[in-house]
Amino acid sequence: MTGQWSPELRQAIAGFLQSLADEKLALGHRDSEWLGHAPHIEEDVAWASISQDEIGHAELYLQLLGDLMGVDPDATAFGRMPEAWRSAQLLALPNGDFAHAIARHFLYDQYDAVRLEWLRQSGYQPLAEAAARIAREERYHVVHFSAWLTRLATPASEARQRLIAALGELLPACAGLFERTAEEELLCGAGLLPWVDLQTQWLARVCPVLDGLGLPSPGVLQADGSWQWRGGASHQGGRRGQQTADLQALLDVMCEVYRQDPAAHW
Amino acid sequence: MNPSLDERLAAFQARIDAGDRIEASEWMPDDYRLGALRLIQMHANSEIMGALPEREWVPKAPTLRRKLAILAKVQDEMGHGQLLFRVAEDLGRPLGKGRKEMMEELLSGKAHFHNVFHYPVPTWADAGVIAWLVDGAAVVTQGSLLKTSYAPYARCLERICAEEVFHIQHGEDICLTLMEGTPAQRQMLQEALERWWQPLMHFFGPKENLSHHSNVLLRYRLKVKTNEELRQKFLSKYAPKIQALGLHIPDPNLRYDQTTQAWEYTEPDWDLFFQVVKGNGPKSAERLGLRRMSYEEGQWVRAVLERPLAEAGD
Amino acid sequence: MTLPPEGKAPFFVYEIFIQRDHASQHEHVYSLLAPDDEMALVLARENFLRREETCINIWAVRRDHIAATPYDDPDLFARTTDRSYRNPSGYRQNMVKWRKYKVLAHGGPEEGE
Repeated sequence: MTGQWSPELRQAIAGFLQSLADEKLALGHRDSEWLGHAPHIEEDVAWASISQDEIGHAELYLQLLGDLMGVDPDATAFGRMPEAWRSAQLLALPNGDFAHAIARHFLYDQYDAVRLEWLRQSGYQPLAEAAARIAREERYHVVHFSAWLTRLATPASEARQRLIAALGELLPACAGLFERTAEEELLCGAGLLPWVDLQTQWLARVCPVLDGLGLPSPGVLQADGSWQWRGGASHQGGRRGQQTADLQALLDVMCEVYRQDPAAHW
Repeated sequence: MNPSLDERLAAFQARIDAGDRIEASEWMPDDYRLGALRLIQMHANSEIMGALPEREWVPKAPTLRRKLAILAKVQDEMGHGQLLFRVAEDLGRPLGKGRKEMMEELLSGKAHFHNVFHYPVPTWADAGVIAWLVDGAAVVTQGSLLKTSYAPYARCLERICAEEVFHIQHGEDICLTLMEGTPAQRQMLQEALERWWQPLMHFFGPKENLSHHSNVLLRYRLKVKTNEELRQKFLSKYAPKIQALGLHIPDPNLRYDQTTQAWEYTEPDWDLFFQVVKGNGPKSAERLGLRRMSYEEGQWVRAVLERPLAEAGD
Repeated sequence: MTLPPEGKAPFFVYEIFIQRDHASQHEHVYSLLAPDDEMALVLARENFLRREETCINIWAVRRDHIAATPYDDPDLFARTTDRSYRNPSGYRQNMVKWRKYKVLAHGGPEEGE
């Protein structure tokens, strides 16, 4: 099947897979920074599984990329400079406090849920299958972060204030998740992915939850029952390779040993 | 007819001597409870403190597989800490000691953790040596503790020992890969071994005649092997392997004596050992500081989960 | 054993039980500290199942909701008189009796039927 594709289409799929992998890897890496520092030992153990899931998902996408383009997953993960990364900037934001971590993951996992539903419909079979597997593991994340969000939102608590502050930074940054790239347009145009409005679907999932808890929400309820983006966007351009010092700092740590000798086996 | 305290103590010791096991809710002598608590609390502390040096290498791990493996390993250490704190909490309950009190004892320096976790982990090779040899030493100790008289501890050690198996294999894999790598990688590993050799020899503790606490543990069969027996077992298991790899163990006196059927070695500096365990190791203050910071930072999270004790009974 | 005098406590002890498959009962595995039932289930899933390949169900039960027998009353479990009348091992003499009837090994009535 892939032999029938034009070089442009093959490159578009590669770029798309790269973006999927980069976001999971950046998030999984940020998650791993919580190891040993969670506020409750049992939660530390749960968090470590979530981090492993995200990095494992990145590995899966990188394997698909490797199968398609003949590139080594580790070389792709560790060998690129920030400007070659295609992750939305939200994922590389440094960790704040626990409320920030819970809020970021809640928002992103809800996004991943709608995105994976979309990817499962892909005409590119390996991607559809990978999305189905990943979606199943993500189920626990949604349960975990919704449970914490509810508890941190407890009225008249310091936790709630911190959650509100975190959402203040994170909600505008979520705009970067909905930037449609040239690769995506090519894939949809070629029929390998259906055209879809992920933002509306995502708003329909997160707004009722945040509104229900009286927290800042990214959407405004319309007369017809749908949600519309409230406005305000920050941290955009990540999907097109516009990265900030956050990703630079992340990669300086992540690639520190690898860069000592990229040709070596570790 | 109520037995006297002496009769109860004698009956208890007889059960221990017969190899019987003790459960959390049973009557036990004060020194048994305190001895078991000190042992298990130190083990629990060591797991969560041991996670701190190792977690430094998760962000920096140089391949995806290594990143995932160390992440899973550190997760296990926290998980083992969880299991052990639960055992310690149940044991400490009649003394009014819960997780909060135990955390405060750790942070104040009143409760200790293993010497090996007070040292720096400067290179990737150190991460390999820890996973292979420090975990290897822990497995030697934990394997013998499976026969402990305190039943809840024995049961959780079963799970801990099963989970440790992949830790050592992961550590071996790192070290084998480094030895088969570039000269710079081999040198990194040799230097790491030299840093860790004395801490490893220290790990099992001094010979019994120096430690009163250890003797209490042996009498009650809370532990069944002496510190020296465990150190000898470690040397038999690992010294030949280390040397076979082409690494040089930095102890000119280390040799196996066929007559005495025991390893001879340079006696480690035990004053240094006690200093380190008391919190004066190279990284003790920094790591306890990190732990204190994350514990205090987590207070507002725990606060939002609280409810009045009156509710706790409903 | 009562809790120490404190104003508040964030966590209860929960005993966790997992069911591996429909052929198995729920099995007790360890305990954890959690603020409530939902969190206990969420935390149990990663604390005790991260190595389990299959699991279909988790129970979380607050320890203070469990009633238990004491360890120091072993006579509570004593069975000291003969109970062979309710074990198959109490009927071994049947084999001897059947031999008189020269029953074939196959095609005839089976022992015990």
